[in-house]
Amino acid sequence: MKLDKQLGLLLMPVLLAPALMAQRPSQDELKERYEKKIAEDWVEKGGWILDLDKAKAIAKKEKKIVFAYFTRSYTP
Amino acid sequence: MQLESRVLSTDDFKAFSKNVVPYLSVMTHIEGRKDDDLLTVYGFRGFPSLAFLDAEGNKIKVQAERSVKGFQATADYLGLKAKVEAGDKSAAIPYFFAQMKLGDIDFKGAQEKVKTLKLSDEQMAQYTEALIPLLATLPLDVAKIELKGLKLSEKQHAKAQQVLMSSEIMNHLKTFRQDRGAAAKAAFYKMWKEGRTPTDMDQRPTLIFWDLLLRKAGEDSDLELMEIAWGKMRPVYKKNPRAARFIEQQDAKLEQLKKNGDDDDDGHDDDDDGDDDHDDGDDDHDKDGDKHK
Repeated sequence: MKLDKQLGLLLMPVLLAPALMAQRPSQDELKERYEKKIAEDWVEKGGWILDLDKAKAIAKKEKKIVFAYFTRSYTP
Repeated sequence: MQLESRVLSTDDFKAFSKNVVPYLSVMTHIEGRKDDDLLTVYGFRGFPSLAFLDAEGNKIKVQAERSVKGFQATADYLGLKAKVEAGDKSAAIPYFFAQMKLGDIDFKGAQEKVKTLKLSDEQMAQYTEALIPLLATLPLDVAKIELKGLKLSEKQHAKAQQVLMSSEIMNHLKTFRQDRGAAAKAAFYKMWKEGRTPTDMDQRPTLIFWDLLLRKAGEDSDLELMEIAWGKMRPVYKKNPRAARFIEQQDAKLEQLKKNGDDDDDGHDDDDDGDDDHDDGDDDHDKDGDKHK
């Protein structure tokens, strides 16, 4: 690999960092996105438990298994 | 997200969820939030991911198939497994079949385990049927030998051949990164010429087979192959809203090949020109349209 190309790759994170920082949502925005996510119809309809300890306690009490769905809210 | 809108929103899922404890883990990136990184704790790399956990929170089975039917099959399998582990001998045979269905046991493992079970004639027939897909768990040459030892009906034999063909297709893809699919395309072309083509369009190897032959047909300006491969793949691409442009390009390419074929029928020796026209058609669809006017 040519030196200028290597330097370009090395410098890329530094050059892009300000732009990436600017795009990162604030904590308030992240909280808003989470609230919006868990307010979606399918969450209520499916009776989803949002706390793992609570889900485990119910599973133990009712002798059931936990069905876990992993998703995200930080990106729209 | 499609999983949420098409699967988790359904009444079928609501019914399924009553027999399990549905737990929703949302990664938020909110600082200090409890359990925010559970996805990585459970060893997953991407979204969405699904798993069954025991009451202690241990991951007991990753859920691959994203349908309520698939969720239920896994839940049933785990229920039978728990019974077997608790010493319930009556669950042994149903558990064995569930293992085979979910691919949780390989061909050799199934052959060994069946020796420990007393199956009725009907169950033996069911076992043979369930064994066919497990041929895919063997190296291709071994699978071919094992197939000879199985007593199969004509229909079952055809099914087994399709399983072996899927393995063969996947074997040809091993050099895909090195040669950008050149060897696979050549091998699939040979299979097609020999009349050996996969038929189950729900199987990934079948889609890869026809998709690579479609590319080859375009590269070689092979009208016959293009008509067949695009005939197979067009309905598949049609399901993808983002493939509209590609469908338009392939339709135009096929039309151009047909036009070139008609020109050839006129007795003109224009092979090179035909190829050039075909390339132009790809790059500039409007220009191609003008030619037809």
